[in-house]
Amino acid sequence: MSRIRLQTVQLQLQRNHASLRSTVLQALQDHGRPLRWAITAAQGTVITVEAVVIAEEVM
Amino acid sequence: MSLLSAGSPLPTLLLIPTGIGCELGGYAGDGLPAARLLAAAAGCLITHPNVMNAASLYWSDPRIHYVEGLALDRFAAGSLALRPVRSQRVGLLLDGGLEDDLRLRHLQVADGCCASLGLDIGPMVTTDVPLDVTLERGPSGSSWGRVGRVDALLRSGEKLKQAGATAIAVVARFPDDPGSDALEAYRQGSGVVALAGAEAVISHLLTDHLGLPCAHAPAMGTLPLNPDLDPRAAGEELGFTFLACVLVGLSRAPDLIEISSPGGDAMPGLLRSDQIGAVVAPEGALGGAAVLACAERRIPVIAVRNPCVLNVTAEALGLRVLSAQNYAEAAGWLLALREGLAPRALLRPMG
Repeated sequence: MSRIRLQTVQLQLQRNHASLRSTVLQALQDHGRPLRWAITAAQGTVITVEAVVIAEEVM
Repeated sequence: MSLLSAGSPLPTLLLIPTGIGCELGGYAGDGLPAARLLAAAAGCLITHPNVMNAASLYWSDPRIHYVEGLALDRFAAGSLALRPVRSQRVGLLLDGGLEDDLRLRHLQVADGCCASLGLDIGPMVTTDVPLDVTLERGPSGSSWGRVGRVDALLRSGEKLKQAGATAIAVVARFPDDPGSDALEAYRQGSGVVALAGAEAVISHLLTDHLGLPCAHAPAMGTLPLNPDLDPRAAGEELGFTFLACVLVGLSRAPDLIEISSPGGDAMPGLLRSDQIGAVVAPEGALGGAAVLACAERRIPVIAVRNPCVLNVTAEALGLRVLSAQNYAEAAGWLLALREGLAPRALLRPMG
């Protein structure tokens, strides 16, 4: 049995050759399933992402 | 007229992200006039509830598709298609934390929308425990929020779907915040709506879990009269609830069809992402999932001057966009694209 938990996440990511969207989605996967996200700052090659992800806890 | 001939409708996404304090569209459905204009220019507009929701005020236009934000992101990314419908059966999900009088106010809105507008509303479910919504602000200044009892929200959504609801309107008890600096700033037209982040989380969760069109109306105590109320916030202070616009919007929201579902891609009459002709978004908020998905596929992005708390511009992200000083100018770009005109032909020097 699992319980759904929401987690807010803020990440700073280095842009790479991949698309912005896939860079963000790949980084968020480590924290859970993305529910809501946006790039909230971009300076040079660094982007800041704020997100809410779904994390499932096994009970 | 062929679907793709010059002058035929140009399916267009209009995004005014929730809770980032957009000068236009950051208040009580004050993006609605822009949506009407862009729908007239494009002939087909897909936008999200907070553009259209003005509490007691609403506008129904068959050219405008009311699509919850997460579903809109997935539509832009190509994993969902939209199926226009004649009407939806809108289930009502009420927070078990509503006081009796507030609950009755909302039930009367549902009755009124059925009796006076002819909407198909019901079944209704009340959560077995209060949803426990809290409001927060993210590091960027945008509005976020939490739902304490996600399990109760999803359980109630499942019951509504099993009982025949084809769309879901959620009413959650939000914290009252009278007299706070943030609320007073918002009422006077200079703040970020504090409710928006938690609202988005609620509707995203249900859409993700059930695959149905969903939208949310916050329930709160009424505020004392404010003689200096900004007109953009006035729609929220005309009545006792925010529910009427949500029921109207959902009543004709398109079905959400998973492209990967059996036969999903072959259904007739679907609106699919490969038909999107343009996306319109604030010039400082281009870092959302839908805009980036469109930009990746070289769908024209129209970046409109619309100040907000973010400054994520085309230049910062390395995107090519068509710039517009306002939504009237954006409507001009849409007409040009709809007519098959090369945008650069309209600029001097030519771009």
